[in-house]
Amino acid sequence: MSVSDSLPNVDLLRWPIVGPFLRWRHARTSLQIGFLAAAVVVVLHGFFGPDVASANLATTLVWVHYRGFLVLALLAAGNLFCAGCPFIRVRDWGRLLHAPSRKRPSWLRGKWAAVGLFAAVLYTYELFDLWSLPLATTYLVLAYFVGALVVDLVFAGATFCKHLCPVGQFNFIASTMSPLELRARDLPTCSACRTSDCISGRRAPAASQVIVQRGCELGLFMPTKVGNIDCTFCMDCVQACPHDNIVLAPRLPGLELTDTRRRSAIGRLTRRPDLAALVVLFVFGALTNAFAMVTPVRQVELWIADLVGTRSEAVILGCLFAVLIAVVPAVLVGLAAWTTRILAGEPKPTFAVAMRYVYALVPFGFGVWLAHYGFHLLTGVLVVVPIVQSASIDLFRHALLGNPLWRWAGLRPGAVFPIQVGLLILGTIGSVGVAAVMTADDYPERAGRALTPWTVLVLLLFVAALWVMYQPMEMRGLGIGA
Amino acid sequence: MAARADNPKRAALAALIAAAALALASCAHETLSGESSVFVDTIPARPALSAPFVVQVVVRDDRHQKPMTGAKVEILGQMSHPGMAPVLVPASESAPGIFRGSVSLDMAGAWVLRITTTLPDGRRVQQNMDLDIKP
Repeated sequence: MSVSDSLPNVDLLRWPIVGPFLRWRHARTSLQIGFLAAAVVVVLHGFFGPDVASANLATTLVWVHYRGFLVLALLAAGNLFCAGCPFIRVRDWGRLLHAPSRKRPSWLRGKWAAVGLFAAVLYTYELFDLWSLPLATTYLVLAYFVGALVVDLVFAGATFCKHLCPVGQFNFIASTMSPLELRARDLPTCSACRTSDCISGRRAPAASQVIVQRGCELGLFMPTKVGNIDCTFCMDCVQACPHDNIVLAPRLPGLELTDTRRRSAIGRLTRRPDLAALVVLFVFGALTNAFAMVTPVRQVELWIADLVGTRSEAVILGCLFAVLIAVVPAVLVGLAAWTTRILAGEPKPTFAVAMRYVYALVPFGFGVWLAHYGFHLLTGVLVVVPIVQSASIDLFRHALLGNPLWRWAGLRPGAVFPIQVGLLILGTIGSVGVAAVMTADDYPERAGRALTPWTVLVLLLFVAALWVMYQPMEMRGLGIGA
Repeated sequence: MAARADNPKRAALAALIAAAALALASCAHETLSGESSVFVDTIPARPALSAPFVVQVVVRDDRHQKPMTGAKVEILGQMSHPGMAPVLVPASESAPGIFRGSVSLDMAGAWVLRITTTLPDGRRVQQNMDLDIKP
C-alpha cells in the first residue's frame, strides 16, 4: 500500500532557493560546519564556562535547543540533524588521512548494539543528571565525536550511524513521522540503470577505481528503498544518480509503518525484532524520560528502595528502567497482540502479531518526545541570549553585549501545557490511525475487532502521558540520597 | 547521638551544634584579598516550595572591621535543568552592610542561587548556593 503515490507530484529539489541549495554538492558540508561550530562553542564553554547548568552553553544548547529543534525538524521536514551531523564531518576528515579497510563484524549488523546504547544513554542521563552537569555534557559530546571517528576509521561504510549512534537511531524511528522522503522519481529509469551509482557511488570516467561521489553509505538502494528508516538525508544518492531520478517528495507521515514490503538494507519490518525493540524503547523510553522529571518519581524510587533494600540510585533507577522499558511494554504489547489474535482469528503466533503492530505506537511515542522536548524549547528558547551576554563578560571583562537579560527565557510552563496536550492527542490519533490501516489490510472482515486492543493500549498510554505532563515538574539534580 | 532530655546543658549544646550545621549547610562566604568579606545565607536555612524566604548578604570591610555600605546585590535563582525560567530579585540594604531579598521558588527540585555583589569600588563577587526544594 502506498498512499504517498496519491499525493501531488512535488519535488522539493526543484523548488527555488531550497532546491538549488539541497542539490549543491557542498550543502551537507556547510550544514555540518555550522553544527561543528556550535559543537566547538559547547565544548569550550563546557570546559571553561560556569559550572551552573542554566548559565552554561554546553547544557543549554545540548539539552534545550539541540533536542528541541531536532524533534521540530523531524516533524516539519525530516532527518535534517543527521544530515548536518558534525561527528560525520570530523570522521570524513579523518578518512582523508586513514581509509577504513575492515568490513563491519557480523555481530554488528543489526540494531541490537544501538538499542543497548540508546537505553544506556537514557539511563545515564537520569542517573547522573547530565542536564545539570556542563562538564559531563561536554564529555558526552566529545565521546560521540571520538566514537564516530574511531568506529568509522576501522570499519567501512556508515557503521557508526547505522548500527551504533543512539541519536541516529532516535532520528531513524522518529523520521517515519516526517512529511518528506527521498525516493526514486521513475522506477523504470532505475530498472534500466546499469551502474547503480546511488549505492555504489559515481566513478571517475578515466579511472574506474576512483569514486568521485560516494553512494548511500547506509546501503539504501533507491529502487527498493521504502520510507525514511536508516536514511540520513545526506543527499549522497541525489549527487550520485546520473539520471537525476531522485526526488525529495511529500508523503503522509507514519504511513510507511504499515508497509510490509521488503526494504533495501532493512528487509521486512515484521522480521526485524531488533527494530521492534528499538521502537519499544523509543515509545516507552519517551514516557520514562518524561516521568523521571516529575515529582511522583521520588515516591516511586523510595518505594523501590524499600522493596529492594538499597539506597543505591544506580540499582533503584535500573529497576525502574527495567520495569518501564522492558516489563511493562512486554506485558502491554503482548496482551494487545494476544487479544488481536483471539478477536481476529489470527493463526500466526502472538509474537508475530506484536512484531507487526508495535510499529503503530511510533506516532504516539513521537508525540510524547515532541511534548517533552518542545516544552523545554518553548520555555527556554531565549535563555541563550543572557548566557552569551554573561559569557562575553567572563571573556572580555566588559559587558560588550550588554548586561545579561536573565529574565529572557520563553513561554510560561502553563502556556505550553495546551500545546503539549495537543501534541499528545495528535500522536494518539496517529497511532490509532496507523493501527487502523494495518488491521484494514490484515483483517478486512474483522478490522474493527482487531483494532480494539491497540486502540485501548494507545488510549491507556495517552492517559499515562497526560498524567505525567500534568504533574508538577521537579527538576531533580541531587538524587535520591539528597 | 541525640541529647538526653535529662541533661539540659547537653541538649542545648546539641541544639546549638545542629543550628550551626543547618546554617552552614546553606551558607556561602567569600573573602576578597583580605580587604572585604561577603557572607550569604538563607532564612530559613532550608526554604520550602512556594514559600517566600530571605536571602541575606552581609558585606564587611575587613580592613576597618566594619560593615561595608553601598554595595549592589542581585539574586538570581536558576534550576539545575537549563532553560527553566529563572527568578531574579534585587536585594535592598536593610541595615548597614546587610542586604536582604525575598525569594520564592515555585518548582520543586535542585536550584542554584547565584548572588552577585558589586562592591562600591566596582569589584564583583559571585557566589553560588545549592538548594534542594522539596515537593
